[in-house]
Amino acid sequence: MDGQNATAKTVPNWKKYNRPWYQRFGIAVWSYLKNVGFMIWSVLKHIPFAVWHLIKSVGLCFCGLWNRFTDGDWRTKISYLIFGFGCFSRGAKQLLKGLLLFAFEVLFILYMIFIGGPNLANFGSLGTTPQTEDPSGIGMTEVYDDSMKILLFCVMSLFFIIFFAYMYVKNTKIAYETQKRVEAGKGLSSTKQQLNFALNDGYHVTVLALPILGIVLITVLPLVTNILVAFTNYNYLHEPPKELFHWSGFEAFVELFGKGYGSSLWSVLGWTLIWAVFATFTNFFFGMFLAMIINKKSIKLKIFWRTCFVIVIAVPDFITLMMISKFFSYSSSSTFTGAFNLILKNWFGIVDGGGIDWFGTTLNNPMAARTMVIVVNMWRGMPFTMLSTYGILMNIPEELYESSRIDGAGPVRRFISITFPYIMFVMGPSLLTTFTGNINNFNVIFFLTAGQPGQSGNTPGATDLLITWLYRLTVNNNKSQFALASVIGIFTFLITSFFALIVFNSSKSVKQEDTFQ
Amino acid sequence: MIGLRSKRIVSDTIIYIVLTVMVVIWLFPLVWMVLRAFDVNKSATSSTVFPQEFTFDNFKNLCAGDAYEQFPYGRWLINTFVIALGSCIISTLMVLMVSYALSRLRFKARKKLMNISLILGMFPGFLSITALFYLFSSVGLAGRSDFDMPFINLIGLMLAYSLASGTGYYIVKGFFDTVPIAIDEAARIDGATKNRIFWQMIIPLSKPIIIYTILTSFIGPWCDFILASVFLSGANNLTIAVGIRQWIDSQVLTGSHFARFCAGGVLIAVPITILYLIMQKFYVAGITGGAAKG
Repeated sequence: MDGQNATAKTVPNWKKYNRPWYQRFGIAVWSYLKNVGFMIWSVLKHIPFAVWHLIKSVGLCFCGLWNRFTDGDWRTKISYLIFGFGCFSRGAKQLLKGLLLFAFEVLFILYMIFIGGPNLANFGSLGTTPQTEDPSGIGMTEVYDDSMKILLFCVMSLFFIIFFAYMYVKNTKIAYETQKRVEAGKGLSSTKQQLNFALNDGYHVTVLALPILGIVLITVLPLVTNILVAFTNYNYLHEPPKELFHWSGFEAFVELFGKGYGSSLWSVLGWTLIWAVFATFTNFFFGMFLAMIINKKSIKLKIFWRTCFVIVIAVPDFITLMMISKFFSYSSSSTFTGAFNLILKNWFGIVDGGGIDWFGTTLNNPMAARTMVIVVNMWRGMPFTMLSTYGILMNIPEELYESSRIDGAGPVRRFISITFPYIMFVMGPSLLTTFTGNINNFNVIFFLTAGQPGQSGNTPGATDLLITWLYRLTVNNNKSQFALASVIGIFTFLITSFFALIVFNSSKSVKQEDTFQ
Repeated sequence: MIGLRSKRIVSDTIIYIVLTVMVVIWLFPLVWMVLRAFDVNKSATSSTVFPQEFTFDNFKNLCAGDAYEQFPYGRWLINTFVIALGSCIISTLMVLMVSYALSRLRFKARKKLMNISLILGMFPGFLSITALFYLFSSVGLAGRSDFDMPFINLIGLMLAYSLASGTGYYIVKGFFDTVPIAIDEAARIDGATKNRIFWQMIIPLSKPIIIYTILTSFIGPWCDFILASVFLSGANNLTIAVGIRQWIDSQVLTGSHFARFCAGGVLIAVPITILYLIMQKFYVAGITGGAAKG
């Protein structure tokens, strides 16, 4: 249904511009940039409102706290100090609820005394006593600071404090509401009713509690911590616990964008974008073409053809990519050269000696490496597009083609006016997601070339993406640069979000999610 | 009519030729790897493209060959399987619960949560990897190389893969959105709780998308390299991806382990290939289903 509407809408658009292709391209680029500008503006103009809203709601919170305190009886007032007192002091029905609230308070206080407090106290200095050799001469000292742990637990404590504040307000509300129910002479809810609430009207809390806790712990907490690392001097010279690191402001930013790594950064960024464009569009167009010829009515053995290509993506990519890198390997002597060069030599006699250095690692040929990476990525990625396009093609209503045939449209016209707009309508948003995914495509680069050729130390190689560079700066590196890596990560985020903004706004799902219900 | 028909035959023949050539190109490296897995010649280099003699030794050597202590493929296989299975179960539950809440329940923070998860998705995953490793090692769940408790690292890795998987709800939520809300309403009138509706109505109705979720969340950890490479250490504790990477970096591989490496690759590819072939139709449904609704 959606598709039909889309085609009806899209077809006039395609005909509307009776202009040469380069003008249409220019118009498209311009309107894209204009949209981005508008989106950034619409986000920015909301910031003052959001800040005002935040201040207002915090203020209201305090007002509520004060009102409930003055209006509350002694049980409610004690609840301001002892969580859940308003509940468990009113009898067995509310006992469990009150005790759970109280247990939470105890947990928070214990956490702050033993973990939160000591770490927060060190937040400014990020630790003072590094781990040294034990005075007795055996092993290392056991009491020491670890800057990274201090940072991590500070962020964790911050989250916990915010949650505690929320629960504090919630707790006073609960106490006050319980008091009002008692005053109005209504019965209190029993434990069974409370459990029933958790499975019914409050079910979203029950279902979401664990996943959100997981996301906060595994995603948000490390993310915030590592963003903070960008403002420190965490590197191989300051690697805790033996050498502590400290706040250093924007030094890492200056080093990355300035003289230190500036030129490497821009060349890596340039290649990352070129790579993402090529990787996305070659896969998209050739995969679409492949799906169309397999889907052609008169072609037999459709499942067979499809399966052949699916097998390629079914093999885990770390296996195929490492294997491909050996398959195309090169050595100047013909006895040690890879299988592909052997094929060219033994079967076709095109090359002699060692053959061609496909990945340019031995002869330091960046162009060869870059081309090969894109080509191998097609080998790997086209089947994915083929699979998803194939599903879309089967959904295109046959009537569209029939009526176009009656109107005398040829195959090319049918492709331009029906098939392509239809595919774009469905695949458009996911195309941009693929693009941002390719900016962060670690596996293809890492397993094929590992960023070679032209790497030395922390300088990126010709095929290094931002993401593989970030990886090399941190993992298994004896000259590691954690702060720099964090800055690169933040930079990558900004670039990704620039493109993702488009998906965010053009995605119809947010607006039309109820269409099918 | 005859002209049209012969035109079609010509174009079909061209397509068949193109398809055949492409299939040959696409499958050739894989066929080469499978054949090399049975090769008598164990080194990475040989004078011929295809092996001259065939043997099963390479597969036998995977579980006990020379230098097995250094490259214990059998152990890696078990580790990978345990991690993938465990995190597959946890992630599937997480994804289903989040999808149900965001698709079916209406509450105040719903839109905000969806926006936050979108923004979180834009951060490159391993911006946070150092801190994540620190987090797990400070609770003693990562970076342990002591051999008395090899599974501790694996549990840590399993949790790291699965606990935060709630953000990947898009496709399943898209599917839940298409299940008519009238079903819920009817059940509500009959007095079913939301909990019961979820487990006894929505889940049985969503079998294809659940199978899709299970398979993708199994394949993810099975193939992951980055997180595992940071979390695991000690030859016995590795997963296949990390182990094989260390293998290929070592000089032994090009010398005398290449055929064994191919055999190992084939062995780990077989289950995933079967899963993919089963999944083909769910994959198409999942991707396009999700995409049509965003």
